[in-house]
Amino acid sequence: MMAEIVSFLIFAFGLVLFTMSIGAGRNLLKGILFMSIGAAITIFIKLIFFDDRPCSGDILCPLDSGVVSGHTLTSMMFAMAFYNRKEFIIFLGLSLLVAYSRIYFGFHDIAQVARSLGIAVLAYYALGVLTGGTDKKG
Amino acid sequence: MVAYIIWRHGENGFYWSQSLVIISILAYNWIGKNVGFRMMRRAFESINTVLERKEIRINGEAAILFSSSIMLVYWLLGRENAMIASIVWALGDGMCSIVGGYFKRKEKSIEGVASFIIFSFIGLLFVISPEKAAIIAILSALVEYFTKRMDDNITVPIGAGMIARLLG
Repeated sequence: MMAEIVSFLIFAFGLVLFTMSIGAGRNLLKGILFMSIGAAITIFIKLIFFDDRPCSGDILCPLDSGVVSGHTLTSMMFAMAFYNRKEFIIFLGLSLLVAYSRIYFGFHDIAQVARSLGIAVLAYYALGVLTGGTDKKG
Repeated sequence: MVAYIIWRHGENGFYWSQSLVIISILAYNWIGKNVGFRMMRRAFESINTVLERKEIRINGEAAILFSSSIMLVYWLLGRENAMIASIVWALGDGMCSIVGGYFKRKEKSIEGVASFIIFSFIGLLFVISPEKAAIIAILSALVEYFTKRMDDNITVPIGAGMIARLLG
């Protein structure tokens, strides 16, 4: 558990350094805001709907609803915050890796992950509408 | 095509195809803007010129938004309603834009709404009864007509799916 926390902190610190070094501090803040919104959406959806996970019954399987993948949704929201920047493709690739890992380890099936992807795109669009236009300047 | 995928392939095939649409359009946009293949950049610029866009937006935004909303419709309202929604969007909304463009209308026009109703009705006749097809076509056209702030690629599929669900 300790090793997981340490590796998470190292990765998060590396991510912050990387975004600051490419001059994308504003995008990083936006990404964190988008991730928080994504997490709120995930919690809201999981409270309303329940769907079994493919790994149900396994001792390592999370007990909450598998209806959308919170990991995929938040990482995709984070990636979308970098849309219109060159680095977008890196974050898109990372979020796709996150999505693949959720399927690979049996925590979610393709339908649950795909829904998360769709909800992330719709949420990004809705945020653009609410804040007066889609993000054009990055 | 989406209606065919829903009808022919299962749930997984549908979700795979829609995810691929979203990812490939996002990747295409990134390549078009950043990599700088001359042909691709030219195609990218000409699309924006044809559509009279002042700023470069997501090319294929309509497809991304439709794919996302049709996934929601499939999940919340079921397979049959998703098929109906995709037919209404593809034929109705598509022909509405073409006819509106033919009459050189920038805003939503009566001609466009009429073509929306006619073509979506014809498409729906292949999958549901004529009475239901007529009601869904008319109400979806109204949804399209009164969509101002939101994108109609979101409201039309979700609206058509909900109408189809309410009609049973």
